[in-house]
Amino acid sequence: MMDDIHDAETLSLRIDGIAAEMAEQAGDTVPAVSAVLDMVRRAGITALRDRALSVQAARLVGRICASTAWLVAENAEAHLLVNGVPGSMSETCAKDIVVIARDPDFAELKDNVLSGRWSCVGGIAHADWLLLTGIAGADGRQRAALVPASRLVPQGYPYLGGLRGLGWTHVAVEGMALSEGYVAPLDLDIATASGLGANRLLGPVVGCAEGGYQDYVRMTKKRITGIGGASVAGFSQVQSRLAESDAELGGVGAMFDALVMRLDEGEDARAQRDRAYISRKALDAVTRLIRQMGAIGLMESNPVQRRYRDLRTLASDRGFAWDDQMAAFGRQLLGVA
Amino acid sequence: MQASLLQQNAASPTIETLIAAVDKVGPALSARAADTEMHRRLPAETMRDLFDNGILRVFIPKRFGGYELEWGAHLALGRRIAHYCASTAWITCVVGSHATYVGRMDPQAQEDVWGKSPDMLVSTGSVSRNVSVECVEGGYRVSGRWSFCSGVDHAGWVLLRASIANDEKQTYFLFPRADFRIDDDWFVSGMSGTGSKSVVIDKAFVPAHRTLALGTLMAPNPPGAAVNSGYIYSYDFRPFSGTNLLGPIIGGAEAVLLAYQDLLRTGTPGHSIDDVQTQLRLAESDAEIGAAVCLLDSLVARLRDYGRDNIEVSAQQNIALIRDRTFAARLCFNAAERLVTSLDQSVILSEHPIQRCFRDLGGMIQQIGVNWDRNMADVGKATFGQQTDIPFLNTQ
Repeated sequence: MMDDIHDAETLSLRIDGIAAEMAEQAGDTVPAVSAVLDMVRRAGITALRDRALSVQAARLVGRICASTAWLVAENAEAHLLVNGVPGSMSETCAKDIVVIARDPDFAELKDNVLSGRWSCVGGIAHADWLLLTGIAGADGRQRAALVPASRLVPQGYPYLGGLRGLGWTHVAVEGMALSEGYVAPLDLDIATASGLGANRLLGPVVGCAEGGYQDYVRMTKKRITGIGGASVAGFSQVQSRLAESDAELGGVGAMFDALVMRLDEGEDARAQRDRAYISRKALDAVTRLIRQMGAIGLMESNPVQRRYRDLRTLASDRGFAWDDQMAAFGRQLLGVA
Repeated sequence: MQASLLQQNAASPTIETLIAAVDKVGPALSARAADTEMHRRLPAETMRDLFDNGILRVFIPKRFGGYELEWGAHLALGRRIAHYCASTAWITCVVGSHATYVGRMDPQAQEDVWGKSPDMLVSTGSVSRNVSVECVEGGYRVSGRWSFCSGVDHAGWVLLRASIANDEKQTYFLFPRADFRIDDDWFVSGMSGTGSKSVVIDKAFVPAHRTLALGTLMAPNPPGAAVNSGYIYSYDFRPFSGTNLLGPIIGGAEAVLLAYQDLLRTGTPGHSIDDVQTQLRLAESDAEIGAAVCLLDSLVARLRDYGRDNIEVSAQQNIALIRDRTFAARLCFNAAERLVTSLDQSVILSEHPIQRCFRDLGGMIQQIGVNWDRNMADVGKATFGQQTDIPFLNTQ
């Protein structure tokens, strides 16, 4: 493990090193999540506890691999949450990778015995711990439980969406006895005060889109037409599509930087507006490129297709929901309750 | 003692105090906006307000009583003034920034322009026809016609671009008011108040010290850098040109957005503040303008870093500057257009509160510096490592 990261410059240098190593090892092939995660972990990136640096790290990692960026983001959020709850949970998992299971179908804790079921949980195969949230206690308060990932039996299911490298599964727990230090109150107030909330996936969204753009440029420089063998990069309409996506991502990046600088000011309607806008423009930028690619854009093995798939999945998080976030902001502008 | 020397020890104001000055005269600018448009020039009272409050001194060298503020100060002022009157914002931000050009010229040329007073507007022209430049003893004899000379009615000097006979390279020539005639050909659908009329010169003599090759003016350490210390007079100027437009453009889009909100609050047919579609539309336009502001802030921060630290700007960084300013301008127009086209047909009436704001915005984004096709074609080519149409952006 390398030294701790305290500034954006060191962070950027570490991730540049990982990207260079990955490019050397993998070339055009898709890197395995476990390989990227291993490098990210050794570089000290999963040990980041600073809010702004965590979000920036997820963006930079997202340019290499969106699934790993998701893990970086979820792990950072999990540590922020466990640091914010009373008790010793944070010490238990201090150096480990933790992912979060949210919105259980049902979950209850009676006499420190846990039962529940969580659908569509990502990253268990790569995590040391799972933070199970939304557990109803006997007193009516919401709780969270920290459970070793190795004690869970994931129930796989056919999954064809994005971020496949995370291995999405259902998780069922039946009558699991938990020790005192592994359960803590975690309601919305605590989560809002300690975590990044809807901002946690900003980094993966922006980084994934930027990675898709980079993949597109790399691939298109080599592409030739099926008839005539002309360079695809030489067509003005291709240049035009690329330039528009490049400009959109430039705008997304500038807005992302501004939002990260305001992270500690807390959630407000403007942050909602910016998140929704960032995710929509990031998705627009990559969608334009994948459409330009034509039929090869459909191929599962196409790196840009993978980015597009991953980005759609990331952008479907409720924190990016256009209608909800933008209507809320519009109401605020107009002074409507 | 010269007026300029009397004022040279006065402390420079901050951008905050200048913004406060803009807000003080803002209501008067708003009240004059319709007349400004109708008469196709800024009123004399507006020019007086700008001069008296130091709003046009941002880039005039300190040794003449100017402020030598950092790059971006004029953009902040232009953005705010556009909330009141877009044409006044253009004169302040775009024409006002031409002081940097003069500040990069020979010290004697600067003395000619500002020696008696720093309150001197310099208009420029680069689109020309029927131009002739003859080399004569001690300088040049110049004739021709230059279009789009914004603010020329109030200009004491014009800085015009032309090629010297048999030379493809362009040179700037500086003329006093007595040497040029204004041809009133400025009849336009937007930005009428800028009075961007044509200038006609008939065999005027220009001494050599009032000329400077475009390449030298833009390159690091032009003649003016010997006497003016700010980086705006000494650093490579090419990355800076073009960003001037964003202050008035963003402010113009914000003016449309603010007027739209006012309309909704006071009531307009077919629209209700409780309508979710209206809320979404407003929020989307606000987000687009917000993105443009983020890009502007980022552009200014980058340019300041380059200038302060004397960093050589790479072709890739130059391309990003062009891309970002062009995209920001498009975002602003899209944001305004979405709001305007959602309104009923009364929006086409000339007295409608949004009408002039939108027409002015449409006029501003026609400027070549933010032209989408021209600029983005180069962005696409450069990204694929191909030759662009702008020589200094090419890396191979």
